[in-house]
Amino acid sequence: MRRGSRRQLARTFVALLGRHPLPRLIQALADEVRRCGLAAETDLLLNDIQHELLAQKGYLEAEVVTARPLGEAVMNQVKRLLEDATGAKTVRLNTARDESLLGGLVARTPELEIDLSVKKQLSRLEV
Amino acid sequence: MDISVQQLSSELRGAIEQLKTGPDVQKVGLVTRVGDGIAWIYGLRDCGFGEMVEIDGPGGSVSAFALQLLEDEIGVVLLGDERRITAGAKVRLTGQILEVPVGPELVGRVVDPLGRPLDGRGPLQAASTSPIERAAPDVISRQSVNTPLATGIMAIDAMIPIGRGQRELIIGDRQTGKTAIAIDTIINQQRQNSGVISIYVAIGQKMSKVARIVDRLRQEGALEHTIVVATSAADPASLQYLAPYSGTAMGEYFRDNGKDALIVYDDLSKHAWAYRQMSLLLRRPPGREAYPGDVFYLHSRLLERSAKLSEAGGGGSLTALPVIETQGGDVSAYIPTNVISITDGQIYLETDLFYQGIRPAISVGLSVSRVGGAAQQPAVKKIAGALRLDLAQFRELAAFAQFSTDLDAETKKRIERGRRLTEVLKQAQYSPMGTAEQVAVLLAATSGAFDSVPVEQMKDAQEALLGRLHAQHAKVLAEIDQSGRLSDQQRQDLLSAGRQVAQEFSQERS
Repeated sequence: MRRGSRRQLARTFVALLGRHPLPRLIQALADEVRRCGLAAETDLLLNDIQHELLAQKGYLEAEVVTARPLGEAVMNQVKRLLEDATGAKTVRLNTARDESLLGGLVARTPELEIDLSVKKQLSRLEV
Repeated sequence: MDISVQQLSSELRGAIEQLKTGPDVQKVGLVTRVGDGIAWIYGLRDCGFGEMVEIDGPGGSVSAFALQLLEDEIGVVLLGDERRITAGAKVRLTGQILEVPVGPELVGRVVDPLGRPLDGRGPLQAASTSPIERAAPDVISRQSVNTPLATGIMAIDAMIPIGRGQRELIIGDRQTGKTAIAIDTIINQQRQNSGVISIYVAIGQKMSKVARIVDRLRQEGALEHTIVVATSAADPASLQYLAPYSGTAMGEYFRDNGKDALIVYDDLSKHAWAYRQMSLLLRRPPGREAYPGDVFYLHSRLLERSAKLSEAGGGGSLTALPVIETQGGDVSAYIPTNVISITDGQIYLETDLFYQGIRPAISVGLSVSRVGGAAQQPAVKKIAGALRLDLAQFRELAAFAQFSTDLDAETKKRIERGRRLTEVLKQAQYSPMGTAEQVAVLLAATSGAFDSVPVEQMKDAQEALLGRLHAQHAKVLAEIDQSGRLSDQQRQDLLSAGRQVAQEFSQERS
């Protein structure tokens, strides 16, 4: 039986970050997840925590998928693009490779997708 | 060759410039659960109520609209096959609400609530679209109902008149002739060449019934002035829920362009059932009869869109004939009382009358038109007063009819008059009558001219009278139809014809 709001839990967790030792906070969060019957929604909870990190601390973690490795200059441009799109102050990028994109890149956060890939542009031409 | 390379160059460069778009930023979410025509979405925090989303499933893209916005998730109602999507599918926010094609191109077509053709006559060529949910016209842009909408059914046009822009409920048990009244009204618009565009919205009906109606409208030539929006009982609840709103958007196009439109919702009981099903699946709290708390608003916001616009607004109108099916004649159930209170009157059909052979089975005592009197043709209005009075007296005295031998002459006369009027008001399906014909028949019956005609021969006498009038007084009929008024001379002409016919029938008897 579900008894609590996942987003409320994420909001509280992020608000307490830095005020208590992280292992203790994680243990408390795990207890609360089990108590509220949210264990099956752990992935979604992590997404909610990311959202709250952005909203409360201005911290954003995004995945950047490219066909080929990117240089630092381009990565910085992507960071600026994400800062503009989300209002984040600090952006951390995790990179991944997908050759089917042909070129360009796709930047993803749990709630946003910026598609600058050649594959996407070609699919538009099909129409 | 009429082409300038310089012009071509600038146009080509302009077109290429337009292709350069900014980064493709999309709000995305994730399907967490799907089933029963409903999907639950994680993310899309900016999603608005009723907003469209696109779900990219392994089997293709499915459209849906948001109807439940909770803190942790969003409930959306699917407009396509739920088997094409799975949990984990990506969901995109479109930033739009649902729109359907509107315009004259739809007239004569059979479409589904999304405006997709169902009649096999090729794609629609509609130039415009309109959102299915729109605010109703405000007070300033309206005017009072002042133009009649003739149904061609004598009992309605005389006693429960409907005006253009009115909302008149047709209510009754199953198999009492509710749809027949609506279809006759649509056919009458074509017969009288009224210029009214009709929209028939079938909600969760049997497809065989819809096919029969379309076929009949085609035979009568009325389909050329009609749009049919059809959903069957096999369609998802989402489509049944959308059907009346889509039909209304199509009708509003004509209303807003200074024309007159008529919309039939057949029926809103099934619409409420579809909404109840969706609401329960979306885990909204159930209320009375398990309907959600906003089921009144479901119908009130729909029917408020039917209106007569002011002259400044073009003077167009949208008249609504919602249909409600009652169970066991119970008009005090939740949905019937809601719609009765929303509409401007109701035509109540009784099972008992239907099986007594009184068809249309209209209960004169329980039926009412709250605003249509102002729009009634003066010629009919003149006679309708006597008709109502005679029938009211007959209803009071009918219970004593079996003691006829002990009754005084005046009471007997009233009962006999009532029996004849009841006969006259019987009318076969698909045989709507013009204003002048109605005036002639009602005048003969209410003035006492037909009192000598045997009750069982009243319909024959009526036919004979109309035949005589068309043969000898066609000009008088045409004038009454044209003006909607009845002069003293015309009254005398009609009465004299009525008396002659009555005399022939009473001589036959003797």
